[in-house]
Amino acid sequence: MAVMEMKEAINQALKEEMIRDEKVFILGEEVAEYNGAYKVTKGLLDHFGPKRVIDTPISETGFTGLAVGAAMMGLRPVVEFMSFNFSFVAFDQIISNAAKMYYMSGGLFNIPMVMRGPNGAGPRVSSQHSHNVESLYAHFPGLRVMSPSNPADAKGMLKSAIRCNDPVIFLENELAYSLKGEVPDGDNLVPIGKGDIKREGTDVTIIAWSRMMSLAKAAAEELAKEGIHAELLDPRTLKPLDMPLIAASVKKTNRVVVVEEGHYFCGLGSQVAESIYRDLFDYLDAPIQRIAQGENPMPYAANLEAATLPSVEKIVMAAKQAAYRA
Amino acid sequence: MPTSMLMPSLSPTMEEGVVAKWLVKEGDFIKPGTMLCSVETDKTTVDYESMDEGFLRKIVVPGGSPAKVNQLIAVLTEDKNEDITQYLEKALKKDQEQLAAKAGPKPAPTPAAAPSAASNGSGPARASYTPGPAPRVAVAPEPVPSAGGRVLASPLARRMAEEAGIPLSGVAGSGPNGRIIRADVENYKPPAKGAKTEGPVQRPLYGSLAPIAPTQDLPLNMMRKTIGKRLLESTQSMPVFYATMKVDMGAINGLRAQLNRAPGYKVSVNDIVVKATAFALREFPQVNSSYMGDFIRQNANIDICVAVSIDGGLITPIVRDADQKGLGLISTEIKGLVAKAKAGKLAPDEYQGGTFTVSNLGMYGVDEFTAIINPPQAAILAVGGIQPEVYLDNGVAKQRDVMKMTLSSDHRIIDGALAAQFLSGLKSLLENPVWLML
Repeated sequence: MAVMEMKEAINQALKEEMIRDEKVFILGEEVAEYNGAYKVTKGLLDHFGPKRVIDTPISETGFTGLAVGAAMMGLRPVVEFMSFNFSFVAFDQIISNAAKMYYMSGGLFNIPMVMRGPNGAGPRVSSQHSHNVESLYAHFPGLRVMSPSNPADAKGMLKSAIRCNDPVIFLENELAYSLKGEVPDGDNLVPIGKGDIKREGTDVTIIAWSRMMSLAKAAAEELAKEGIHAELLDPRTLKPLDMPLIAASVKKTNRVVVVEEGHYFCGLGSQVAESIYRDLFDYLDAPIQRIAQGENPMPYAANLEAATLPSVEKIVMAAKQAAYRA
Repeated sequence: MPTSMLMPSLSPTMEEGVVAKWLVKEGDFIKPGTMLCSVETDKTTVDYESMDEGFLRKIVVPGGSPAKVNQLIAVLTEDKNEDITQYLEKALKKDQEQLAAKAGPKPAPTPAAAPSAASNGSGPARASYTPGPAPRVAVAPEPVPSAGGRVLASPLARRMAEEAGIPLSGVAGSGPNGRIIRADVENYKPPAKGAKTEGPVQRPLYGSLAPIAPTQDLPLNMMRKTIGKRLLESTQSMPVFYATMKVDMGAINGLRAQLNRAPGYKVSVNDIVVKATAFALREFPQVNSSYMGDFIRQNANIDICVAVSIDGGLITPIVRDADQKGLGLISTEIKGLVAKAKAGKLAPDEYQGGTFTVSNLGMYGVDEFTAIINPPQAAILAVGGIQPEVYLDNGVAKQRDVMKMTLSSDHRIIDGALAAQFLSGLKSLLENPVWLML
């Protein structure tokens, strides 16, 4: 089992799937000659050539629309957004065409495409480069939304996403690209819709995904010192949610903290919390705590950015409150 | 063609009545105007007059039995021996359906619960959350309210307590605002055997004394049910505050002595209080109001209810337009209404629709008390008895007779200052009763 960074694991997934299926191709800004803005597509142009690794102009609407058309004709495009903030330019193509084409064509057209790229806060890149988009895309029927928290999951999840016949929004994180971890050799697919318990515990379930799982892990260490055993649950797929896994954990701990990097209001965490209240009301011993980003555009200043984002301390405090230990 | 005789609605609040007694029997010929039966409503007993003609073919609800408003109580036919089997079947089925629709979905029957150590086994039994071959049933005693008037418990704690048969009222909550949480239920210890619980008081029996009478469960009559329902609604739905004022009754005592020398009159203190209250309400019309949800209705008429204790409950007959009547007339009217009330013969318009109530317990030796407002009225005046007291007049101790009156006010309409002004105005009138002549 090799140890590698998240960006390498994603690169491996792309390469393996492109070898496995020649219908898979990559397009986006700087993906070919420059090896990707974050070096995720490193070496792929050399391996597969310019027909399957395509540099596009700065034209999200254009190249996303092109990918939808290609998917309709049976290819399997993987679109890279240099940042998911730029996907807003292609919002109409994603929502009106990619998400709805299968339904509106009466099942005639599958849209087997993946849209991937960094989501959420980067290091001091200010308001227009720091959006979290999971709740936006999870809102619309027709899209699947996935967000890995470690290299092994990233590889297994992306391979499943590329093999999926529906459009998948695959949310990475700029600050997690260099996160290292063991990655099993071979396929090791992570099925869409399957979450994972990252740490067993009995006192409180902390649900977190993407980079937030790293904070949750640090928080769990802190909590353990005080005798609070947190269970860490990574849903991995954000739509559809793995409710059976969530239910099993909540029935065990009876308390929940949902951590997300996005804004609080209408954040994806509110849907997670609502699903728990709806299905597991009788198993709750405390109100569900939510940790999320403040209700303001991302500040540029480092101290303000830290203040508005979730932190280990905030998660620890929320878990203590949920466990009646605050 | 048969005609259905239905339980009439004799008051706006009436949902059910009791056929107290049938005044006719099956086979009798009924004409419009014939009194069919007497109906005990939630406030009084009224004779039910037939509007139809025909033979009383069938009494469906026998004397002494209750029936919902509009429920079939008897059937009239044109022909004395007409077959009404099918008609009756249909009509009864319709009644059943209407009753079922009103009652809502029937809860599934649950086996009775064994009383837990900490409860007396009363209260509704509820099936536990987890479906299983033999659902455990927990006793659900009336919880003791904690913060905000109800027991705060997490959903899990509630379910665990229910499954374990632990009364939440006996569990101390350690969560925020006293919320009962999982740990509290897990650590619950039932009270030790022999600890004080509700139950019959054991008293020693001495040989020569008669045994103590057994406890009786008395059925609620219609009036008790209504009193319970209305007054509970009142206390639960209204923000009420109380203001008490003392009145020097010297002048009234003098006035009454003079008035009662007039032949044929015996004016009571309460008659004078009613008259003075009506005058005060004229001066402060806001107190003579009703809270109607999204507006306040200021009543044009001053119709004063007088609380009367009767057998089985109490009723509040009304002195209409009390501000426009002389003391003699008010006194005569109240006497007539009280007699009618005690005989259970008040007509609905004689006890429905008052705008203010006076309740007097002075004659029972009560010094002062607070009364519960009759919705939708805005206030009620509770009047105590006349008591002698010592007071200082320029340093000299003197004696006088005083009476305490307490105004209960709906704060949504009446503010403290207004209640004080009203009481002050009323006090002035009672201390200067000659003004009532104006």
